[in-house]
Amino acid sequence: MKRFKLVLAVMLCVLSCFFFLAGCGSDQGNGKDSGEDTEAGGVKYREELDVIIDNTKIAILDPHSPAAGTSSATWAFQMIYDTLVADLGDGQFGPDLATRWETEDWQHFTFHLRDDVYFHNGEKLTAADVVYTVERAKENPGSAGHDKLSIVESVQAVDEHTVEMTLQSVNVEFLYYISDSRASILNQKAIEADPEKGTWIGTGAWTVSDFASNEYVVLEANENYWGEIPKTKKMTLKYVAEESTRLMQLENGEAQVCFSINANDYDYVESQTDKFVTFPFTSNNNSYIAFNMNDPICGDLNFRKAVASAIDREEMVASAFNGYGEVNTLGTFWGFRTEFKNENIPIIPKDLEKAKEYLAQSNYNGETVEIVSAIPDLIKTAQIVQAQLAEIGINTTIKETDPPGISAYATYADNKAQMIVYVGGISLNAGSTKAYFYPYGSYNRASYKNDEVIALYDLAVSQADPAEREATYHKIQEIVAEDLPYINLMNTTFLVCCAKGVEGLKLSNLAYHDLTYMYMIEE
Amino acid sequence: MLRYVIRRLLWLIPVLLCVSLLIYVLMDLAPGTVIDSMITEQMTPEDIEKLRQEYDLDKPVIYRYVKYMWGFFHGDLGKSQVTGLSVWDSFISRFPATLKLSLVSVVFGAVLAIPIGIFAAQRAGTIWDNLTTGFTLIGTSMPSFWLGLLLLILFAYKIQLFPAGGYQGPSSYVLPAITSGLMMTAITARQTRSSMLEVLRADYLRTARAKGVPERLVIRRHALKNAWIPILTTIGMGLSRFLAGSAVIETVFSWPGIGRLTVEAVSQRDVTLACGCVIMTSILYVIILLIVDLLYAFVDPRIRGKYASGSRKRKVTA
Repeated sequence: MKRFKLVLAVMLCVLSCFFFLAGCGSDQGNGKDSGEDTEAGGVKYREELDVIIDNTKIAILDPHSPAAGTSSATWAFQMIYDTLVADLGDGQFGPDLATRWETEDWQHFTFHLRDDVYFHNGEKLTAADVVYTVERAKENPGSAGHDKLSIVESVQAVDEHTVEMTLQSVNVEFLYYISDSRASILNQKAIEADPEKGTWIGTGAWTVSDFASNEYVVLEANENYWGEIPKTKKMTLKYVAEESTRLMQLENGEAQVCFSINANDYDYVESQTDKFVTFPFTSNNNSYIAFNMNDPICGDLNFRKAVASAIDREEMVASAFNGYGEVNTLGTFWGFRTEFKNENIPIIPKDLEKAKEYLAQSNYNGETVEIVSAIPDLIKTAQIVQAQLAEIGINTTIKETDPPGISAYATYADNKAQMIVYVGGISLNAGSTKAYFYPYGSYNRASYKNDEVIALYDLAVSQADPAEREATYHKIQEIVAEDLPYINLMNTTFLVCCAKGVEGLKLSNLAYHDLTYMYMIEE
Repeated sequence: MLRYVIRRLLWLIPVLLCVSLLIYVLMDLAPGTVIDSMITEQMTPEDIEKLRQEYDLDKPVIYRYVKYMWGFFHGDLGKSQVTGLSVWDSFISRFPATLKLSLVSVVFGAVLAIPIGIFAAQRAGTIWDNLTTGFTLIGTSMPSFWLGLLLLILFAYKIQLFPAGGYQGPSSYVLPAITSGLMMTAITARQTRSSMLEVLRADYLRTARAKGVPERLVIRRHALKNAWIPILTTIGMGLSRFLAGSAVIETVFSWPGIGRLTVEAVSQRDVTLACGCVIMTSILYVIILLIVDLLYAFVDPRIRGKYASGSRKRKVTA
């Protein structure tokens, strides 16, 4: 009996510790109890916001690192840094760090900087910082910063607040590139003093107070910001790996915003109107089927047309994406909101009889065609494609891999794939589509090459007149629609779930959301 | 004993060479390289080739391996190929989270398991023993991610007693420690029960009881002391496994530990970081097992005696 009591005592001790620890949650841990409010004009704003970021994670706070190409990294960059110009949408640009700029030929640019901007370390912004930023980005191929600034051939400081840039060639999309947060201006002194943490220093509305790679970044409002000071005082952007955990954190107040709710939970969160507000956004990135144009079967236009006539996009959205997606209605391959979209190209409708006719005229003789895919939702899409193609007698097998695997498997010069079901990043500027259609384009998984398309891309980038540029890009889309190297499937719709009262979030079709002025009104 | 420790530590060298070579070769065989996750819209074939050269991907895997190991044996674990951050710094920044969770889990597991095991052994064949066996069976067969999610739903969502993941404050340790500790509790309890069963039937215990030694002392002083070795081994193995990082537990509870760091490195084809993490966890594994071996000598006088007689023999021979 004594021994039994001893065992019981040990167990009770463990249980006591368990409940004792329950009361030891730190303020940071239990978001619902933290975050005192600030009151302004009778409205109470929550001081701290915890944001669960999407699956892309923030690996590093350095726009010139190859690991900084993720969408969630751009959210932090927009908060920490400023760019020379601001993208106002619809091809319009406004001042940011540069009050004005001039160019006569779209190759030589002069930027005039504000003279009241200070970095988070107290250093004043000068033209030397702009020069340093451009040169540093150019030295780091593979980084998104390099992607945006490598077309600058030379950059020089004319005086303390004037910078001149010369591009390698005429480029009418240059302002797009420098308005991207990965082209933000860094502080030379800070980086030279501390190469790892110096890149945390920007001129933006938020300062970095703590950062753990791929885990979280803690930001505090910059009270000395030259622009509008955020209403929220502290914001933590954190990565939560498990989807169920994300929803639970949102439910119990440990997070106020979640960008990565599982699509299966969308209906639930939308129904909880007393607790949550949801903001949908449709990705500019296309889910697509790419055909290897060098493959004897997939290189045959009739085979590609047979596939195009056999697929049912609505079934894909309903089954693979739980109904949250925009079925593609465009008969070519172009971003959902990318400029100069040619809406007049009709989509190839589903017609199984027509599909069988095309197939009969093709090189296909019952072989098994390999479909390569990565990422769970797209693998599901590939399975739907497989079932739909089986209806017209095309045998397929699915090879599952991961994103680096697919990049290695289907390169322009050495394409081992036959068909690929994947998703592609496309920016809002038309020139970004070049990556899919230009020889050696980094996303050209179809190994597509058409000399006319090459010439048109080279022409478009030099056309300052938007009407002329539009005509050129429309022509490119028409040619691509005829060649059919890609079949556009759908654009996924994501739901951002926030606690009731969250406002000020600027969503982007590119998933480069702006959280700078996000706040939460307390009831 | 010193010679034994040195010999065991020297074994680390071939272990590390094998483990690092294995991870290097396996990651080389996986489709894709680190630069495949870096390719951006505007990159030209020249840019990609430049990157390949920068990461030595134009050279054979054995060249990269030898270069890495040369750095390693000079005290340099290298830099992450993706972030450019020091592998040592990345590992060390995650290590405290893993270490603390491992220790809490082991303590939780051991504190529960040993009394349960003794309790079951003393009542072998009774309903209590069957209940304990049932508990250990559930504990060993229940997938940890499932248990973790159940605990989260109950204690973080329904009752809201603990946070739903994260690494902040003592309360955040409870659910991950229970999840990982429960399996260890089950395994250690089974081990304790079977070790105790063997010992409890021994003649010297019968003698002790016949001499009137109270049962409490019989168990604590005589039985448990002789049953310690397999229990220690189980606890040591459990601790080494926890320290190597449990990616599943860390994922469910958003725990910023070694397991997730390693998995992320592999998925990004970051060979340097993955290799560094594997090497460091191998070192930890070997050291913990060595400590467990040394602890045998402290709990068992016979083993201590063997070490002592070994030293005496050597002195006599000399």
